[in-house]
Amino acid sequence: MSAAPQLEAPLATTEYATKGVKRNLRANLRLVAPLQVHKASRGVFGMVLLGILAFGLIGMLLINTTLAQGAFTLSELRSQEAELARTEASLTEEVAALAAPSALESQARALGMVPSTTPAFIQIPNGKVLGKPKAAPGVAMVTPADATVGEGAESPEAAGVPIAPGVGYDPASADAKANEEAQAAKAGKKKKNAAGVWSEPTVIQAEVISEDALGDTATVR
Amino acid sequence: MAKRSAGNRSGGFLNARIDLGNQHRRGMALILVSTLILTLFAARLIDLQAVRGSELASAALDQRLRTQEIPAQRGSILDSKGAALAITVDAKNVTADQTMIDDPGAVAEALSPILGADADILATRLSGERRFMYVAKEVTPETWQQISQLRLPGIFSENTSRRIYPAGELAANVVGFMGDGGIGLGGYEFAYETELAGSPGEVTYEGNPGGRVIPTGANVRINAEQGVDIQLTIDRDIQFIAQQAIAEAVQNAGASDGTVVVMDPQSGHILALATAPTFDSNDPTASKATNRNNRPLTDAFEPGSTSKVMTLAAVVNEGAATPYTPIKVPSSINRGDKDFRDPSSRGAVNLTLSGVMAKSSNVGTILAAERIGGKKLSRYLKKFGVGQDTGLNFPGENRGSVPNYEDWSPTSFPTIAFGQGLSMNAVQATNVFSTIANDGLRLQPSLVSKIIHSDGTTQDPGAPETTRVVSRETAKQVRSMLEGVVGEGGTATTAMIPGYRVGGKTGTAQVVNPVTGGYSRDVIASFIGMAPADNPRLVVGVFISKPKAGRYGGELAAPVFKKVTSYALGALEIPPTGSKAPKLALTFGG
Repeated sequence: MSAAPQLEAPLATTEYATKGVKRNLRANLRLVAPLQVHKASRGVFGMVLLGILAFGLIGMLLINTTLAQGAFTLSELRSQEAELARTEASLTEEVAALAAPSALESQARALGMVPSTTPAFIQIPNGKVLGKPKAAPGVAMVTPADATVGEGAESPEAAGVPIAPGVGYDPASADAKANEEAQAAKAGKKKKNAAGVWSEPTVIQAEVISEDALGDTATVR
Repeated sequence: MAKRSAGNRSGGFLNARIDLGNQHRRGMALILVSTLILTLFAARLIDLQAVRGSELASAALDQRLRTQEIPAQRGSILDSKGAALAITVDAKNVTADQTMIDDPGAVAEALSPILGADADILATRLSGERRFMYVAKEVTPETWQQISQLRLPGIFSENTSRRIYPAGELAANVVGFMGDGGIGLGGYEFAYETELAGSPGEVTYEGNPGGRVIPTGANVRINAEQGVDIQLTIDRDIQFIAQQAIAEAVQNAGASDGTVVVMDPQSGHILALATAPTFDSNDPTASKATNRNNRPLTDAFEPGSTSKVMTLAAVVNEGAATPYTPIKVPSSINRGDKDFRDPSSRGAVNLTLSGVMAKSSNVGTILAAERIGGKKLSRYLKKFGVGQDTGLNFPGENRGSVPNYEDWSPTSFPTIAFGQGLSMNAVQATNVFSTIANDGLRLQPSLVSKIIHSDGTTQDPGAPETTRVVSRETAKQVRSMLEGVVGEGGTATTAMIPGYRVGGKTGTAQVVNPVTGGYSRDVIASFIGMAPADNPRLVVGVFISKPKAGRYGGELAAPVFKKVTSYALGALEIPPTGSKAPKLALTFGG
């Protein structure tokens, strides 16, 4: 592109020069004035050509710079995209691992929850109980930290409750905790638990048929 | 030139000519010389542009053109609610240029804690003269970031991806596993390999020697066709409980293995397909090959007493008996020179047809079956799906078998009537009960609920194939007989779920010894049941192979049924129907 103006300029100059030589040789009668006009237009013409040349060159430079800049931005954004994709992938992985049923189960057990074996439903609005809710087997946890689920002495189903691996069980402290729980349950208000699947174990036999226990195992429909 | 023409007269060819000629001749010479030179230029130009033009241009383009593969992302395998069972995430392979590493020991020491690998093993991979060597494969991007921050010489990375199974063992037998090179080797990873993998695309562009894209250059992009997502009918929560329950039961009974099938009888969807012992899809080689099988489909066995449901349903459907029909059941009968007896029988009893089912009487079942004969029974068995493909297209499925009626020996009919001498897989056996639960209409079971393409469109497998096996009325009567099994005096009172009506059938089937061809001491203890019995929403089959502690379906399998079913009823929010189970007389006076 930039080659075109460069080629034209020298050609034009040569032509003018040749004309000048011929005039000098044979025609003294000619007027001089037109020559001056020619000279003036030659300068302007040169300027215009130079201008075009400069404009072209600067334009090219600008375009190239912009394009190169674009390419750099592109590769920068690409690597940023890759970086974000990696972050997303690792977060996805983390969420999926935490949301896996086995992870949720151990979390629930850590909170002292055990699976309920008797699903029941409360019908809205008449409050009718569908199913025969029973307290979930198992005893209250010892401490939230060590996530102990013990075998309930009073419930026959308790033997069938799977115990999380590596869980220790201390009957003495479990009893102490159970008493605390019982006190709290008596003092506390009724609890409504929307999840019919996991419920807090109730350790006192009397609680089994009370409304407190019912509230624990019922699913509100 | 002008200087020379001014008067240098000394010798030389060129000078002599200039001296001789006038301005005109000098001009001519100039023109001649420049024409000559320009002709050479022109010839070269024509050669380059016209003669070899396209060839050279394409050679030049080849130097700049680079083609890069766009890998297709492998599709996910999802559970019925869209939770991921198998997903693909970005990963890095750590590579080494051994020639750039001066001190392999030190580099290995630095890598060892990050990769969690032994430094000595790493050192052997880092020392040598090879320009390319894998140090660790499929590490997380974070791990690579830690490594790259150490700026170790000669340590590089390449992009790759990693298949992860967030729930590990969960439904591993269905989902399957991957082998080296990212190819599915087991389960649906294998069965749907092509669909899951998709096809890679490529981008072709002009690049500078540094590898950067030349913006004005050619740029052709063929997008990768991403793999499809496969959504299963498996509910991961029910699957989890089923796996946990069966693993525990197998361990407690000292059994070789066990299986749980949970089906929705109204859609034919399999909600859980559990087996124990199983394996972790993330690390398939850590377990025995047999544990990688999807036993509910790959293992066929003689169903035993659960098969009596087919026999008695056929008898009722043919109008040959009702649940109340009295049958005098002796302690043993002789058929084809062979005595058939009830293991627990102490003399003749008067049972109704319901009683035959509830007490699981072999003799009573044979007597009832004789009311319709072998030919009709054989037809019903085929309609119930014995020896037929399940339609799940699962790799390695064993569809079981039942001998053709023409080939039956004199003892075949009585044997087949109570569930020996024919084989089924666990899904087929459960689907028999699902048929009864679905008012006598057998649905083809399904494990894949839909295929989701990368553009968001979904492909539905469509309505399941149906086969009318018995009438609605027959199915209803059989269901009430099944309730008798779980009720007082039945063989499976341990399957009762308080508040719900439950029906089912126990089975304690003898296992054929593959060496002798005769029956071994081993049994398969099973229970297949449904709830709520008057409007079944769930059918659950439990099978425990070769137990050491305990033997009967009622004692081993029914408690697992109870655990899984009571959970699933809660999880699927299926309330009790509130109706009362009918009291069917199991015996009759006289």
